[in-house]
Amino acid sequence: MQLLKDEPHGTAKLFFLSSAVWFVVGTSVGFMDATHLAAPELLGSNIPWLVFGRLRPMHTNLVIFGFVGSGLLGAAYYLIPTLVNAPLYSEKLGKVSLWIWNLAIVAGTITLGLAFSQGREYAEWVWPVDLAVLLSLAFVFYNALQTTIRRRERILYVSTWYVFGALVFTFFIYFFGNAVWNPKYGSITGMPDAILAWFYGHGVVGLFLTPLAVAAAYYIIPIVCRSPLYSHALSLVGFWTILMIYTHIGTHHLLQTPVPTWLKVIAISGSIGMFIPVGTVLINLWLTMRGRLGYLHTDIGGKFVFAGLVWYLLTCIQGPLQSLPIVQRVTHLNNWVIAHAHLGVLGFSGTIALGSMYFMLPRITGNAIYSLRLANIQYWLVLIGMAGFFTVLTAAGLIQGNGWLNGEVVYRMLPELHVYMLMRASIGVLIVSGAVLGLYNVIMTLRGKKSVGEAL
Amino acid sequence: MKMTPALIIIGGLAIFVAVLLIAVILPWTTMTDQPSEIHRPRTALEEKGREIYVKNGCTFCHTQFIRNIDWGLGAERIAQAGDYVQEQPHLIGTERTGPDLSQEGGEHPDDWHLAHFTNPRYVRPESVMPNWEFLGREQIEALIAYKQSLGFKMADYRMERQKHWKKKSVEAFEAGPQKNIEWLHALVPEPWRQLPNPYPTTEAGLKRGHKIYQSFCIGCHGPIGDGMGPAQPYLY
Repeated sequence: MQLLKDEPHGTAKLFFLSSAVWFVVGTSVGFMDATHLAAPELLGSNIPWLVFGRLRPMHTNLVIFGFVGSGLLGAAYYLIPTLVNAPLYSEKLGKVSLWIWNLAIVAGTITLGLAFSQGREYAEWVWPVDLAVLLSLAFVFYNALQTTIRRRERILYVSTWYVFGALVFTFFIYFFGNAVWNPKYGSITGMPDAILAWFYGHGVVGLFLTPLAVAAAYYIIPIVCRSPLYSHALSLVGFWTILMIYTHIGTHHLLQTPVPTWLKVIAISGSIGMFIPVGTVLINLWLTMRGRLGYLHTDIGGKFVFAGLVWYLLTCIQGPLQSLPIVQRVTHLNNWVIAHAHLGVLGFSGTIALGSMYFMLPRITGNAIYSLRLANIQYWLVLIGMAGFFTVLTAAGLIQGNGWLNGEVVYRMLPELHVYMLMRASIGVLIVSGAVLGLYNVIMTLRGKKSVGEAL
Repeated sequence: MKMTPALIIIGGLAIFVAVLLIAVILPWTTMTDQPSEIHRPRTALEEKGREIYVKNGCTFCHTQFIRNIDWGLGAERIAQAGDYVQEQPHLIGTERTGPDLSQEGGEHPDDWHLAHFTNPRYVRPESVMPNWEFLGREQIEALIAYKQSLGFKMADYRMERQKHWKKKSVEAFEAGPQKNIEWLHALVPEPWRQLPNPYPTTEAGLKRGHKIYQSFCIGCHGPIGDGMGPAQPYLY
C-alpha cells in the first residue's frame, strides 16, 4: 500500500511534510482569530465555525500538535535510528502512527468547528480524538524502543534520552490531563479540575515540545559547528532536572485562584528552579558553539535552531519571572501571556522544528533544499513576525494589566487595545506568508527540484 | 551515570508518578468539597446553558473568578474553592478579553442579554465579541439562564431585584409618558430634586458625557435618547 510505503526515513519525511502543511493551516486560523480581535465582523457574522471561541482552540491545537508536534516527531523519527545506528524497527508502524496522528488533527479541528469541545485549554479535543493521539504516541514509543533495543551503538546520546523522556511523559500527561477515563466531560470536578488541567496544559508544551526541541538542538548544533558536545555532566543535570521540575509547576497558571497555598509555593519555587534545566542546556550548547557561530550561519537548519535557542533563553527568563505573584498582578489574564505563549511555541520550539526540517530533509531525501533563498526569506519572516508579536502583545498586555489594576473595567480598555490588535493581525500576515513559502519549498524539495536561480 | 533505555523509562515514570501524587492527587483528595455559603445547584436549563458555554469556547475570553485585586463587575465576591464544587469541567479561564462573569447573574436584565447575544455591539458598541444569533432563540435562552445564575445565591438576589424594578418600570411606561416621568422623578429623593445643579453645564462636561453615553447607553436609548437604539427590537 502506497500510504504505508516502506522506505528509509519515510516516516520522518512525511511528518516534516505534515508539519509544513499544518504550519499553513494553523497560522491561517490564528490569523482569522487575530482579525476577530481587531474587527469582529470582518469575516462575516453568524458563521458558526468562524466564531472566536471555536477558532481559538482550533488554532492552539493545530500549532501545538500539527505544526510543532509533527515537525518534532519527524525529528525524533530521524534522530532515533541515526543515533543508535540501526534502521527504524518498522517504517510501516511509523506510517501508521503518522496517519493516526494526522487523522486526529483533522478530526479534532473539524469537531471543534462543529462545537464539540471539552472546554479546557489544549485539552479541547473530544474523547475519540484523545484516543487517536494516545494510540499514535504509543506506536511512536514502541517503534523507538524496538529500534533502540536493536541498536549497534552502545552509548545513548543525550538526544535519545530527551526523545524517550518526551514520549513517556507526553503519553501519561495527555492521558491524565484529558481525564480519558471520563469520556463525556474529559475532566474531573471543581478546583482540582483546574489544577489537573494546568498540570496538563503546562506539561503538554513543557514535556512534549520542549524535550523534543532540545533533542533536535543537541543533535544539530554540534554537527553544524563541527565541535563535540561540551559536557556530558551538564546534559545529565539538564535532562533529569527538566523531568523533575517542569512537571509540577502548572499551578503557576492559577496563583490568583483559590487553590491551596502550599501548591502555589511549590509551583513558584519550581518555576524559579527552571533556571537549572534551561541554564544547563543552554550553557552546554553555548560552550559547544563558542567561537564557531560563523558555521551556524552557513547552514540554514543550524541558523533556525540557533534562533530557536535564543527564543528559548528569552522564554525561560520571562517564564520564571512572570510566575512571581507580584508580577502576575499586572501580567495575568491579558495579552502579556499570549506573547509568552507565542515566544515558547512559535519562537522556541516552532523555529527549532523548522530548523530540524531544513537540516534533516536533505539528509533523508538526498536532495538539496529547493531554494535556500526562500528558506532564508522564511527565516526572516518568522523572526521579524515573532519579534513583532512579542513586542505588540506585551505592550497591549501591560496596558490592560495596569489599566485594570488602577480601576478601569475590561470593556473600557478595549478601544485602547484596538491599534495593537490591528498591528498584531498585520504581523500575522508575515507568519502566514512564511508558512506558505516553507510549504512550497518543502514540496519542491521532496520532488527533487532545484530553484532555477540556485541550480548552478 | 550510564544512560540506558530502562533507566530513562523507569526513572522517568518514577518521577512522573511522584509528581502526579504531589501536584495533582494530593490537592485533589485534600481540597474542600463543601459548597460555599453562596452556592446552590443549577437548574436543568442553566446546566444546558453551561454546556453551550463550554462547547462554544466562551471561556477563552471570559474568566470566572474574582481576584483580591479586582475592582470591576462582581468584585464584591472574591472566589472561594467552595464556589466551584459542582464545576465540570472547570471554567476558571485565563484571559479577560471580555469581563469576568463569575458574578454576572442579575447584573443585566434578560432582554439586554438577548440583544447582546444577537449582536453585542447593539448594547456595547466597543465590544469585540462575536454575534451568537445563529445559535437560535432556544439555545440563547438557555445561555441567558446560565448567565443569570452566575453568582448562585448572590445572583438570585440580584435577579429578584431586577424583576421587581422591571415590573414597576413597565407599569409606569404603560401608564403613559406623563405618569412615567412622575414615577421616575419620584424615585429621586426630595432634597435632590430641589437642589440647583452645583456643576454648571460646560463644553468639556458635555463632551465627556457624550463619550460615556456612546459607550454604555446608546444601544438601548438611541442616538437622540428616544429609546430607538439598535437593541430596541429585543427590549420590553
